[in-house]
Amino acid sequence: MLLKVENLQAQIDEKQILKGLNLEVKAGEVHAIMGPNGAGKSTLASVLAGRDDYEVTAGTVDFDGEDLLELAPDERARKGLFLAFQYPVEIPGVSNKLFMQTALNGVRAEQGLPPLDMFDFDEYAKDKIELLNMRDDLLERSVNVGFSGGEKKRNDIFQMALLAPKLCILDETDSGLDIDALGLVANGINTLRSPDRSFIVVTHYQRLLNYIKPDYVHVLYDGQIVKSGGFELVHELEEFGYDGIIQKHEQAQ
Amino acid sequence: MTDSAQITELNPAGTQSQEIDSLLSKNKNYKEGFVTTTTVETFDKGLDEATVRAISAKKNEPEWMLDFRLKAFHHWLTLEEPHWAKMLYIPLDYQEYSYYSAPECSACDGSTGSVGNEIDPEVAKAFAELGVPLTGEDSNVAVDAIFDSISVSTTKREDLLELGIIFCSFSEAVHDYPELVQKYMGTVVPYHDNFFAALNSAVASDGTFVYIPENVRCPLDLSTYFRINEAKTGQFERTIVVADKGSYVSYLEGCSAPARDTYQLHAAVVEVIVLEDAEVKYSTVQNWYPGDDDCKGGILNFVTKRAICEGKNSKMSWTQAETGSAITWKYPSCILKGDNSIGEFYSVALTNRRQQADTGTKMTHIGKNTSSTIISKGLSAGRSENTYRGLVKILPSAEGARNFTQCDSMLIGDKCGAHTFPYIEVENATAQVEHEATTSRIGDDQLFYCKQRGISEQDAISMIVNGFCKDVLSELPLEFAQETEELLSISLEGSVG
Amino acid sequence: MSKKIIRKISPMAQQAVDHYIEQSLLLNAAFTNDKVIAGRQRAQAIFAQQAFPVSRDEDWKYTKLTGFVQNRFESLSQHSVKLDDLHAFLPPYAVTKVVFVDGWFSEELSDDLSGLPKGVSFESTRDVFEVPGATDQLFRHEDIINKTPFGILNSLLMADGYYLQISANTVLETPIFVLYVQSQANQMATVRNHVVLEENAEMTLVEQFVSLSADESFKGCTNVVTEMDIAKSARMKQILVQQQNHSSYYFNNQFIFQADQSTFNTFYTGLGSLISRHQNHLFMDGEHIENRQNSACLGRGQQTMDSRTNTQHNQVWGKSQQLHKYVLDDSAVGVFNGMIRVDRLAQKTDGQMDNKNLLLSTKAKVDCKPQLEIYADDVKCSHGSATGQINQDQIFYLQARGIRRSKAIEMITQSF
Repeated sequence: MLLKVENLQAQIDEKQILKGLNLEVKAGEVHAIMGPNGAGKSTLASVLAGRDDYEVTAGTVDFDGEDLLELAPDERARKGLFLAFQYPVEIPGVSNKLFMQTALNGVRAEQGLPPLDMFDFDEYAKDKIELLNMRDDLLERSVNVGFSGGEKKRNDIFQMALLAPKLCILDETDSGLDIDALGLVANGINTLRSPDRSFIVVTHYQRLLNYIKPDYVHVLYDGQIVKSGGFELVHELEEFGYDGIIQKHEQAQ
Repeated sequence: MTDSAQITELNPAGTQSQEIDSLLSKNKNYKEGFVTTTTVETFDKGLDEATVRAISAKKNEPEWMLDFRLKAFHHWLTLEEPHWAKMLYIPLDYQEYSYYSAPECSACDGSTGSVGNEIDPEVAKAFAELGVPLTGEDSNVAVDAIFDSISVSTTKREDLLELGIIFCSFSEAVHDYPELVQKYMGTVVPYHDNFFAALNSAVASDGTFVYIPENVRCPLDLSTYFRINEAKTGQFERTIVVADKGSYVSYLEGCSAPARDTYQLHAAVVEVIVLEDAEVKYSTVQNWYPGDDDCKGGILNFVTKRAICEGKNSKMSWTQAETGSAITWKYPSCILKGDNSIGEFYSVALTNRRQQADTGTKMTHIGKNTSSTIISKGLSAGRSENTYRGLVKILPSAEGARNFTQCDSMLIGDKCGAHTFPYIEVENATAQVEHEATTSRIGDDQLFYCKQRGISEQDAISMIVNGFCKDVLSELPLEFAQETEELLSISLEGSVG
Repeated sequence: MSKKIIRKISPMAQQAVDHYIEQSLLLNAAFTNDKVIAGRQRAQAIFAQQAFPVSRDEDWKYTKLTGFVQNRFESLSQHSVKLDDLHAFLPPYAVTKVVFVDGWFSEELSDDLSGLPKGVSFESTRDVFEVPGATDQLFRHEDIINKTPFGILNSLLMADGYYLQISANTVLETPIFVLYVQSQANQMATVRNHVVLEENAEMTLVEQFVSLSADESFKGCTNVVTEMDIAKSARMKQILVQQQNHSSYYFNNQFIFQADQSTFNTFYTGLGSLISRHQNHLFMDGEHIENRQNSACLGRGQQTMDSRTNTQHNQVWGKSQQLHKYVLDDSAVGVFNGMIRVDRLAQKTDGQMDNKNLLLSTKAKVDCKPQLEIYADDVKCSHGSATGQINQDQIFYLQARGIRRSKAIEMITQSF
């Protein structure tokens, strides 16, 4: 088991968002988390990554045999948890190269590997740049500064490719992408799929899922997973929307 | 700084500044803070006409130099210590300082032309520890090393002399090139310019003299390294750089001092004369001892630096990285007299703990089509005060003048202050003057983004800070830029590194 | 910090100081109110010591008073202004009109103020002096007022003005229009106003400053101090038009105190006077305050147009915006000085200050000083300043479209 979330409860500004969430992800699996706006999808992604605006009030999260909630955000990252941001952040004056070389060498140090110097790093980054069809001057440019919305998202997937994490959490990565960019992002993700890498794809729409084809689909509503199933659940949602599932859930309560 | 509880109270919104604050409060390791013990000759403290005469006599100076000193001294007596800058300091007792200190060795009396092997081994060791090459081998910089009041070594001067380049200590120049010194000294910064310039003119200890002849491009970076060693000693160096027609030079300046518990005084004057088609690039990394956690014992740094772009198409560029000193009072300026001349000022000033910096520039446009650029990055942390103060003055004669100014401040923590006081005076309708200023802090989002990529908080802060300063750091010569990046990290992160 | 300043006063300035102290004594004799006299005397003590600012004073470096000090303006006035004289100055929209002549409230020239809506009260300051207890209101911010040189002079020669109060939840639909008329030469109009907007009140105030003669020998001085208390959620909109004749002087210090969630919006247009200086001292003493301070000054001839703001963010979530524009022709001097000060407590501040200048002649001059003083880290503050001349390409473009050069310049200036 790579990730095991049990009865996770979390709040922000004293407002309860996650209300006892359970989720299990095995190595190599792709899980989609879907749900209406305000269900707690992004909160789940943020809590797993360790954003300190959120306070975990109950529950446990086991990540590869460790208590994830005890780890600082950068430790989680170095142990192989990656979050692709809904809104990737701009860092003026810091080149992608310095940024990613520092990040990668942090991960490598954790794995007991020697750091890459700038030449090795360039070599290592080269085909990843091609994979995401990024501009040649990507590494020299400041992190996300002057990037279009689509470029920022692609840059995040590029970073994911570089760090080769165990668990990738994609937070609304498809939002704001046109069809070409979506194709590139999905292609990048699919290339990175492997038996020892898992994905949690958080999204409001099924658009991206048609490209990625998740193994499991969960519907998140009001801070809990109210329905789980296979890929067929995506089509059910497409046809009936969230309302049907939510109604059923509320009747059952 | 043990009041982190109080910080939490005042800043319930986020823990970021608290964390940064605790990071910062770790005792900073000022690695240049060692003391050199050697035999020194030091004047008794105190300042009067006899002191001025004694300094001049010690240096075996000609009459005209003594006259200059005395004129300045008598004028200085009529002046009041300025306190208009946005900083608080107790008026200094000028009788409490010693105005001359020199390691005792034969190379030091300023009257002998040749230097090299005769450096006091302790002093040589001190410079070696600072990473300043005094032997001149395997180095593409020429160095003038100044220890307290005097220049102890100037490397590569023979090689340079073959090209007609004069690079020597100021004291030597007074003896060896009296016409040049008399021609230029006091032309850009007259002895009556301000309180500290007058003081410097009276008691000038040593400094560097540079002359680049017509159409010579100086093949090496010229560099001066200043070190204050003796306690309660003032350093008052005087530097003159003259770039004759069509010449080019890049000049670097580094500073440090040992950790002392009483204030050390530094009041320098730098004059740069740039003639037609010439270009001077002047870079400073100032890392004087900032004092203890309360900045007690740090250097008081009062500096007058000014360049005149005398000729057509001349160019002057000041780049400074200011991280040290308890107090920094410094405004490297350009008088743009020649038509089409260019003035630049790139500055990074970082203050931490209780440091106070009031720094900026003056760009005075006189010639036609003159242009100036000012990029200033101020970083305040701890309980420091960091002020940009600048003047852009376009005189009626400066047809077609242009200025662009960008002042950015970053606050790290909520106990510090960042201030911007620009003065803009435009007296010519064809001038284009633009000024922009912003204030920001390290965003929580930025920190989290870095951390999510596995970068530690300390590395993230240092990375973001260096990114913020990039426009300026890229103007520094490579090795200086690297040194500055490290300095910024060290100054911010205490013992991290 | 307060270093004792011993000033040397020039003989010319000393004569002026003596003159205005004498004027103050005349006022004391003419209108007896112990509290007002005491206030004038407090000001007199400071004024006798400080006199008038000189160009050595940082705040007066660019606005020189050497000419001003040579005048001997008088405070007591006898005027004979008729309503007909004022028609040219009245706005084309519905207002409640209030007229001051040489600084004195004129009941016969003003509208009938007893007809103001419920919850709105307007009194002349001179009448307030007559109401026991009410006088105290006028001295509440005396310390702050007496920190500015013309605030001191205003306290010294305090004569008339108005006290305007809008009760809680009252929305005054019709703007109050205050016309300040200089009716005769050599008069010093000293006006002390106080505006109180109670909780959730709203109003628009229009103030206009005019002279009845454009004659060069017709010199006068208007010195206004206005205090505004803007209570929680109240909304104040103010428009000022200063078009006194070109040999006169104009000084206006406004002290504005804003409480939680209030908004204040002021726009100053400077056209007249030889030397004019308009200053807002704005204290944002509550949360979620918004304000906007804009100004436009058009200077010609020998005019000095000085406009300045001091905006103090003292609490969280404040938002201040400013835009100041100067168009300067002939030998006119424009002076802008803006300060945004952000207190440690004022996190989440959003402060913006912009200054744009257009110089139309080779002798025109502008001096600006947009300043930031920041003590809180989570703030967004910026300022910008740009000075230039009219783009020759733009002029050419308009000329190419058949527009005369002078007209083209006028059009571009207008749009600026």
